[in-house]
This record gives sequence, C-alpha cells and structure tokens, in this order.
Amino acid sequence: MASLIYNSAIDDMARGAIDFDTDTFKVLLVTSSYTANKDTHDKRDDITNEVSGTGYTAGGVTSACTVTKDTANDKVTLSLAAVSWPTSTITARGAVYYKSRGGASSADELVAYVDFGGDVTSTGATFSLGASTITLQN
Amino acid sequence: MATFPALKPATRRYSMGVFPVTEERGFGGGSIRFRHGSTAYGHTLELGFVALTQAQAKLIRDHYREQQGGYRSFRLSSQAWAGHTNFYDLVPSTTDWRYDEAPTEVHLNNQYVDMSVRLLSVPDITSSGAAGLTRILTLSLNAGSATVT
Repeated sequence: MASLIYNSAIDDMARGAIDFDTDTFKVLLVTSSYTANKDTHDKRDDITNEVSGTGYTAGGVTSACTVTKDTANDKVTLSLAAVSWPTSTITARGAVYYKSRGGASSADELVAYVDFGGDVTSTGATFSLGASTITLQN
Repeated sequence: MATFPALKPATRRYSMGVFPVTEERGFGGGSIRFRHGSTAYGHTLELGFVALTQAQAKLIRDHYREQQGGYRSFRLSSQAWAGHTNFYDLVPSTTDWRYDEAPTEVHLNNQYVDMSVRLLSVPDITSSGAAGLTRILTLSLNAGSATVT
C-alpha cells in the first residue's frame, strides 16, 4: 500500500477544520494489519491496529507542523517534523498523521498515512520517523 | 465598432473554436489539464460572397480599411448568419470578430465581384458576466522514512 493523503484532509482544509499553521498534529504508528482507506477513513477512530509495546504510548507523539509559502515556485509546503520513540520495542508498518484535539479519537481529523514498505522493528532502540512534507502546488 | 456590412453570403465555412485548456505533466508522469475558462475562442468563419455589385464590394473594402485590417474587432450583422434562426448555438452572442486576413476578390466580366472574407472570433472581455476560475491544485506527499538506531 502506498503512502497517501486522506481525502477528508483536503475537505477539512477547505472547510477550515484543519489549520496547519496553528493546530496540533500527532503521528501514531500502526501495524501491517491496518489498511488505510483514503476515501472512508476520516477520523482517528477509523484507525485500527495501532502498535503497542515498550516505549510507545497510544496516540503517538506530537509532530510540529511548519507552513512555508514559496511564491517563487508557486507552492505551499506543510512540513511535519521528524519524531522518534527512544528505547522502544515495537514493530510498525506505517504511520498516521492526524490533528489532535486532545479529546475523543472520533474528533481527530486524519491527514496522511505513511507506508514504510515493510515492517520496521526496534528492540530497546530508538524508532525514528523522518519528516514528511505535503506540497500544494499551484 | 462598425458592424460588418449587411450582405448575405453565398457560402459559409465555420469552425467551433477551442477552449482555453492547457496540458501539463504531473509528478507521476501523467497528463493534467488545466481549464482556464469556460468560453470557447478561436472560432473561424469564412464568408463567400458571389456576384456582388461594385457598390456592395466597396462596402466590404471600406469596412476592412476602417477596422485597419485585423486591428479592430466588430460585430456581424444578422445577414452573416442568414438561414439560421438562432445562431447563438454556434457562437456566444457577445462574440466579436476581427479580420484574420485581407478579403480576396475575383472580378467577373468587369461588372460583378466574388469576395471571400475570413474572420476570427474575439471573446467579449468587456461583458459584465465574467467566467469563474477553475484551477486544480496538486497535493503531493513526501513521506518520511522509518529507521531504527
């Protein structure tokens, strides 16, 4: 399965439900049992098979977002910062970025799914996820 | 704006024009089309006039000079579309025209003139109704990779 941007994220951006400049975004890890559906998955409660293990807390960690406008190249870049889970023992196949409202998972808007291409396992080590960027090209 | 002389053409050759669409290559190599407007442009209309009197031929010549060739645009008289009860299905009602090339003439028996006129449509940009913009933004995701250290 390829990495994707949930269709709901585009809709949420258009309707103002997601503000990449001011909202809080988190990223959680999922196992290979999760199948992302860009059409029907729109909130965090649609996410199944979140990983569990030492050094990992359900819901994931915060990924700071930076919005950059590039008028020279007619684009806006949304950069979601790299994160890590130090001293963790987990196995993940992918990651899900979402807007965290701090409450029920049913209220958190999904943004994107990152497919690692295979299981990645850490055993008492640091599990790192590099920065992801979403580009809006005009 | 001087309307084209009210002369009924014997022949008419017409093309429907094109829409303002451009094609670009997407990140994945496929083609993406951008529609910049919803009004067709570039209609061409060739009017053939047969056996005009010299006075009628002069009307077209004078009109061509007044428009300074293809410099000024103008409207057509209803005679240009004679035979069509409603020609608005052919071109928008606000369409202007300009000469695409100089009229050509064939003189017959030193008395009558066959003339051919080729026109190019000009969308009316002064119309009060402006077309909306349809633009496609492309979203792409550059996903971070997972590593263990």
